[in-house]
Amino acid sequence: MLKVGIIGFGKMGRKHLESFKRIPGVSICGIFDASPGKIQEAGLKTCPDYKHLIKECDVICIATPTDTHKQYILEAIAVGRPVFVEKPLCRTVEEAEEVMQAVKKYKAKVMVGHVVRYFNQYAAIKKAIADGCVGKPAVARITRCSKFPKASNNWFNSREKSGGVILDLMIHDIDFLIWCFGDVERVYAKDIGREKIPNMDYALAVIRFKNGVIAHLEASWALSGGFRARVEVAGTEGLVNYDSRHPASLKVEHSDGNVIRENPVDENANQMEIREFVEYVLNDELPKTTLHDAYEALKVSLAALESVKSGAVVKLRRGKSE
Amino acid sequence: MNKIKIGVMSFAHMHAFNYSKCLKKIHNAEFTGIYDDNAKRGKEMAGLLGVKFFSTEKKFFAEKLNGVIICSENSKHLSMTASAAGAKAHILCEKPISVNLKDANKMISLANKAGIKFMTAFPCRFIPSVVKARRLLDSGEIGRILAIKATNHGSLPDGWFTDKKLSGGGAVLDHTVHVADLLRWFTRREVRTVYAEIDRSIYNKKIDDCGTLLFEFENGVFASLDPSWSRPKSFPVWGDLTMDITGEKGNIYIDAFSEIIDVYDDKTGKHSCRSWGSDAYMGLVKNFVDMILYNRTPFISGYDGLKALEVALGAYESAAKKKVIELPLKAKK
Ligand SMILES: NC(=O)c1ccc[n+]([C@@H]2O[C@H](COP(=O)([O-])OP(=O)(O)OC[C@H]3O[C@@H](n4cnc5c(N)ncnc54)[C@H](O)[C@@H]3O)[C@@H](O)[C@H]2O)c1
Repeated sequence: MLKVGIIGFGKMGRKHLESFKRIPGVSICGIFDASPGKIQEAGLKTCPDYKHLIKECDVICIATPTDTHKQYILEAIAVGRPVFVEKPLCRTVEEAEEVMQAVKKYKAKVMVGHVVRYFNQYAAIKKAIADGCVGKPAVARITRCSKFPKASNNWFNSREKSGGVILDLMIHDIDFLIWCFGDVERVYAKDIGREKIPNMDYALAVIRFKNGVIAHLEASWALSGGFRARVEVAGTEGLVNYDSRHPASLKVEHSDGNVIRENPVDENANQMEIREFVEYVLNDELPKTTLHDAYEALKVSLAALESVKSGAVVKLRRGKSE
Repeated sequence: MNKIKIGVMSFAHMHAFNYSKCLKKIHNAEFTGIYDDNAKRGKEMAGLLGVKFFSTEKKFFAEKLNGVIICSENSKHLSMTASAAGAKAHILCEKPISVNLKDANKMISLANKAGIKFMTAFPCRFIPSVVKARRLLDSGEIGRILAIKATNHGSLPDGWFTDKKLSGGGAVLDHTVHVADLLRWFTRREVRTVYAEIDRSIYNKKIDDCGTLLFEFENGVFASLDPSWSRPKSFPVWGDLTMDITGEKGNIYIDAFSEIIDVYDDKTGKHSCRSWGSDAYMGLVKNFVDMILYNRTPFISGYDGLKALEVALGAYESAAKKKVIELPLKAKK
């Protein structure tokens, strides 16, 4: 039995609990949260001390607010526990350097939950590009829009904690583009932070990749409702496109006016990433998301934030741990 | 635990390739090899898939197979079933089960007598949107089913599909069986009457390529189906599977192959779509392997295959006689 300890029992912690529970040979060792009431409400046993939890379990899953990731990662890997941590890896470049050095020192297994790679539609886009459908890729447009996320203590509203829509949402697409096109040369970005509007954020960015691809990214926490994701990649010989507004494979209209649209899949993306994490831990099979790319995606996102602040183009620098 | 040894019989039907790829990924199955009465095709596929080719059924069955997947031309399903039954290998048989009811009945009784399990390959039962829809229907989400409007469009297939001696029928046979099976599965009822208009107006081949069916189940639920090979070469996708279900308390719309990304590729000169949906073939083949492994009753029986075939055959009879046909069909004299 692989014993899992979960730290952070909010939106994502709950999701990961469900995913771990569905994997044969995995058991839940304990759950720790700064507000233990939530765990009790869910009818589960709380673990009062995270240090104890880290000691007791075989692997740790971290799903706390972004600015608290580093401390938990370091403590877990220092005692040899493989870690699954929600994206972004952590909050700042300095924290990331510390994590990367510790990973090297302890030869630790750390996987970051860049879940977009596990959505079949995005994997299909990457495969179509790899199969040559667009020829040599030239320009990409990618979009991810939702309403402002609900969370404990409304921590997404704090730039210091969450990094805003760029570090929290755009990073998904940044990671996906890195998966497709490799490392980034430079980035330029703008967001609405100067307006200081609570519970709202919106950003646009332009990224130039080392392989020449130009990408335009949109990330929004300003939709009044719903969700929209799109990606389009054009090249010398063609174009590929995915739009979440493609018709759903299943639509249910209730006579009371309630409408549900859904694309059921055999294994959902969250389940897939957790399964790959377990296979990584048990069998050394490398997951689709590499720590290197997660580190790169974090650096690019933070460079975009730096660009917003300075109003200048930011060139990606080599990290100390590279 | 020993692996379940599975062989594939004939690559006449292109699904053989899909099933083979699944077999290679299922860890409690061993893909033992391929028999094909077309040795050139069989050898080529064996090479491509990295498995052994057997030039005769005798050598093939000498491998002590636990199961076979039959993907021959429809008219040869009977003889291959007979061989597999003789070798006591469980069978997953491509749809339609056969080209007439007599053969289909014979296949079922051969399997029964040999004490082997016979499963009909209806992969659509493993499409997640279809599975979910059935669950919603069962939970009473939209009340009783009143009527269903379905399409299973396709493009013109190559080769033996348009040779009636080998295929037994064109678009109407090819596609009606899929939808008839799903609707029997949803409603848990048999079809009682069938009406169909059928023609070969699109490609002017010696086989039906278009038509529309309107049929009714025992409980009064009625359904229409367009099984035409009516998607032109320039169409962005191969075809579709849609079911618009009208219920007492709401509607369910299934558009099973809508999970796509758009591809505009200058090499093909047209807009095409690639699927990102879950792999229904995998669900089917896994189910077959598990059936053998755990000694389960087939999830999709030979009888299911036969009853779906009967709807298609009823449609042909209706079109020929220009009247509504009652099922079950009377045995031919
Ligand atoms: N992959 C995705 O699609 C996705 C979506 C949303 C959030 N996230 C990421 O997941 C992480 C968690 O986000 P969430 O939406 O689940 O937030 P959340 O607020 O719903 O959950 C966070 C939980 O952590 C607890 N917590 C707060 N500080 C803590 C601390 N110091 N120690 C222990 N527990 C603490 C809170 O009580 C809360 O239960 C973030 O890094 C976020 O960026 C990822």
